[in-house]
Amino acid sequence: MTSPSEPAIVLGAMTVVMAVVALLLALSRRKQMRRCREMDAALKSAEARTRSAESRTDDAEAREDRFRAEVSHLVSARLPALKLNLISSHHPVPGLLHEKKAGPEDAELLDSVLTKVSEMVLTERRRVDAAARAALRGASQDSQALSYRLQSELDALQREFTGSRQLTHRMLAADHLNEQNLRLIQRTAIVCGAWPGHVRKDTYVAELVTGASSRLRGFDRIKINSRIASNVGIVGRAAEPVAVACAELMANALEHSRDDLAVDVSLIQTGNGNVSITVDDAGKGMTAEAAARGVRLVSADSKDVMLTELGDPPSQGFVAIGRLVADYGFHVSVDNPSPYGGVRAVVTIPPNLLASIDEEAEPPSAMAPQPPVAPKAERRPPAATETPAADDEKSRASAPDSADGLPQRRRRGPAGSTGGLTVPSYRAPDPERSRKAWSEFQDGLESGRTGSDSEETQ
Amino acid sequence: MSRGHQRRLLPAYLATGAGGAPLPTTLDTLTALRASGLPLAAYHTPVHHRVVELVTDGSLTAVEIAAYLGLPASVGLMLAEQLVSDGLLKASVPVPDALAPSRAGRPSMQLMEEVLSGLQSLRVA
Repeated sequence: MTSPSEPAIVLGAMTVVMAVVALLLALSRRKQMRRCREMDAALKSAEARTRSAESRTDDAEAREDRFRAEVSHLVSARLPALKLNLISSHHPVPGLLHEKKAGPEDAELLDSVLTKVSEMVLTERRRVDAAARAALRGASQDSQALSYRLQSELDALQREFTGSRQLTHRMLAADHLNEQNLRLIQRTAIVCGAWPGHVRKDTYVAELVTGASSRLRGFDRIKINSRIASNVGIVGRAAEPVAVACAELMANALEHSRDDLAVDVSLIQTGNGNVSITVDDAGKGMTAEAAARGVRLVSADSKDVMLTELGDPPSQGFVAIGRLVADYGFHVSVDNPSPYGGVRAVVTIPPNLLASIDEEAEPPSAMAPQPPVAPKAERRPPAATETPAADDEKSRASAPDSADGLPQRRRRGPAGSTGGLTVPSYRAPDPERSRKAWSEFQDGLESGRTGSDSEETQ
Repeated sequence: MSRGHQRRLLPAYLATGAGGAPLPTTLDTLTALRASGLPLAAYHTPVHHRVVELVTDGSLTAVEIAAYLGLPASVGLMLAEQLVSDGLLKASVPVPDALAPSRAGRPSMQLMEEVLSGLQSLRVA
């Protein structure tokens, strides 16, 4: 049984071998398949990477183009616009070219260029402006001091010489020129940050406004109507600033109305204790833009207005007022129309800047207007026959003769006692009375003069 | 600008107003002035009113007026001349010493002598 089994064994062995080989083959093939798949995947991913790299390059190029366009837009359009905008905020500064496409970082970066440039320009501008103001302030203050000395000299000269009327006339004219000059210099100094230059004592409102009007050319066109109790004054520290503000407002009114038109100034005390100084002109009025600018400049927050913002010709008046308003706390309004269609400017002085002045100790000057009617007396005056008597009684009671027997100058009665100014009545010439008066005068003169003369003649 | 020394507020030219050419010198410091009774015009300053008020009840010289109003004498004279030329004040020239009666109520010796010499010269002629 060995012979038939031999080929079977061989066959069996071969089958086994073949099976093994087949198994091995199958294994290697699977391995190869796997490798192939892996290589495929690697290829695919490499392709994808290449594609994405390409698209990123495209994006970057596009972004670079956009950025370049934005930068050139910045240089050619936005910076020049910023230059104009820094001069006047009316000029708009355009935004980015492609607002939506630009990334937030780019937009921020580009905008920060504008911010930095405007900061640098403004800092430098403030520095230059401060230097210019300091120089101008120094020069004006020196000049102001000299003008005050000239004022004192001219005043002394007027008191010293009574010679010819021609001389008096010219001295008064020189005095007026000096006052006008003083006003201009003082205003410039204030615009440049100086204080008004001197402190007054408490001053009557009517006197202060009259004094302010005297600093202007054409002051006799200003009609001041006082309807304020005559003892109301402004405290010393605010007196000169209010005078400067009034002078500037009256100067504007004179300048903007025709030469033959009056400027009405009225003084009233309102119910809440403020004193209002109203300046009405009959000019053309201001445009809405000019009025808005005026309001901005005269308000207290215009303190840091620079010389470069004054315009050409520079409007110094409103700026000077703005500074004084900020420093001293009164109020100025310039945006109302006057009854004549011009501008009504109002200076309002709050009660804390007002003072009551003793009229006996410091009689008001004859040059300031007195209230023609008492502030409350809008009623019919008492019967004409009893007015003078009542007036005399009252004035005698209020101004008794002094201790040494000399009669005191008679003052007009306290406001409200009479219906108003007594009109000078016509007096028939009385030869007897004049003769008596003159002979008494002559006697007095002679007795004073001829203690020695009479001895010589006799 | 020391404290206590006050800067002038009201200059003297406010009193006379910004008139044109000055009037010729017509008044003397001792000329007596009195009101004529005419009403003042709109162009008169408050000081003109005060001057007329001051001399309404009597007469004063221009210098006295200036002193009352605290103005320089020269300006007082100017004011008076303006008001005289407007017809609001009447000026009377001061009487020379010689014309005034002496204390006894009779004319002075000087005047009598002048009258006598005048009469004598008349007689001679």
